[in-house]
Amino acid sequence: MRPSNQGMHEHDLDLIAALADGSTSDAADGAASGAAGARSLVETCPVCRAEYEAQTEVIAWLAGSPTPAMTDMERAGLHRAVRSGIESEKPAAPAAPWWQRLGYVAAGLLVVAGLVAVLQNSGVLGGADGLAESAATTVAGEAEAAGGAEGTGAPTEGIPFVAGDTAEDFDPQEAPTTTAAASESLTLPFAEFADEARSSQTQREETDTNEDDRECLARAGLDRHVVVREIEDEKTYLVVMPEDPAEDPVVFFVEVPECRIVFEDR
Amino acid sequence: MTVPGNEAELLARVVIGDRQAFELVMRNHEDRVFSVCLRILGDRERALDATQDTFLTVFRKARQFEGRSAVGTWIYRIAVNTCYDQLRRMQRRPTERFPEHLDPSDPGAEQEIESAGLRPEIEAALAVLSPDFRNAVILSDLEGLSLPEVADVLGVPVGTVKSRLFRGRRLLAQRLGNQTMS
Ligand SMILES: [Zn+2]
Repeated sequence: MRPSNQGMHEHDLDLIAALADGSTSDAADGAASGAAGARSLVETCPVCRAEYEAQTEVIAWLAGSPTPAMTDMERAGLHRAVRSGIESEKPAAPAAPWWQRLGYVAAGLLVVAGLVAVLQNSGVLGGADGLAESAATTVAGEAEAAGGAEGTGAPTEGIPFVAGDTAEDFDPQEAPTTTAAASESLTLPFAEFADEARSSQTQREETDTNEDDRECLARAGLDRHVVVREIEDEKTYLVVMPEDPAEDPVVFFVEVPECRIVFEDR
Repeated sequence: MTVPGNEAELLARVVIGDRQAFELVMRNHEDRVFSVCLRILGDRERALDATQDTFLTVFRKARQFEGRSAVGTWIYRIAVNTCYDQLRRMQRRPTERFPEHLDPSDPGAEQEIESAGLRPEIEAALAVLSPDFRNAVILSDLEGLSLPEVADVLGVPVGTVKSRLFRGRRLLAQRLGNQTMS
């Protein structure tokens, strides 16, 4: 907006621009500043008319640009790459580990339930603990509904029997403490650690990355990044985020002492 | 175009590991994701790389979809962020390898760059805009997303999108006024 030297009004160029792209209706907050008012300004004021013409010309010019498309070969390559990306992720599985782990937990429960049942039948648990009994039947029933996935260990086609009921209850914030500890043999749930790191933004500003870590980050190509925490597992991993809180909160996991990025979560 | 409700259901199936559902979601959106990435990155191979990363992220993070926006806008948001990340990485490691699956001898791709690829004069004009303005213009005026969709993808209020668009177009008009357009 600048003072008018043509007419007796201040040129509300954003209003004129909104008229040009047809978005005035949602912009019309003031009574006098609706589409009708804007239209009459375009007719009477040269400054407003110039703005209107400039905006409509640019819109038309851009609209004439062809939409870039993939070639068949590029598309096929993309599909192959995504498929193999998903496949190769599976063992390290940031996508799947939680239900896989739940699968193992369920399998464990089945074993316990089976034991309870055997002991009950053989009279060792004579007095039949009601709670244990109901737990045993519930779990056994679910396994049966899933088409007898007991023997397979790792769930394949039958997995939804675990995931279906629990997916909505699953809280990624809780995962690092609960599930990581419960599964030694499985890779760490990096994606979930990343969510946790992101949710505590203040850490980024408060963190004090030491010299060794800085050197390690530099070797991993992560200048201007900070260590927000460390994860101790079989190995030690630095959880790394951009130094600048305004940057997108990409979370890197750097294996030490190798100083190698092992996982990246955006 | 797919009904948003159906897409949310598809995504729920992706969460439980349904690969077929994932491929359907991908087929619905891969063209636009590629187009957005190409326009942001200005390079076919990088755009394909970003498209691939976008869908791997979609697969990985399907359970984080909360249904507050359409599945499409959620995916385009991931795509835009993926492109930002790529641009940052390119700054960090200027000599990045191209992804293997892209065959440089693919004659179709080469031809595509020249003919139906990006219009050089539009690319040159967009290049003078700051990323905020440029991405608003790309999503709205080139990709045809509605204002609320653009706002969703960029994670800013509709009013902010509008002012970025208006100012972006004003700058483009100035540039064009100095050149071809009368
Ligand atoms: Zn005026």
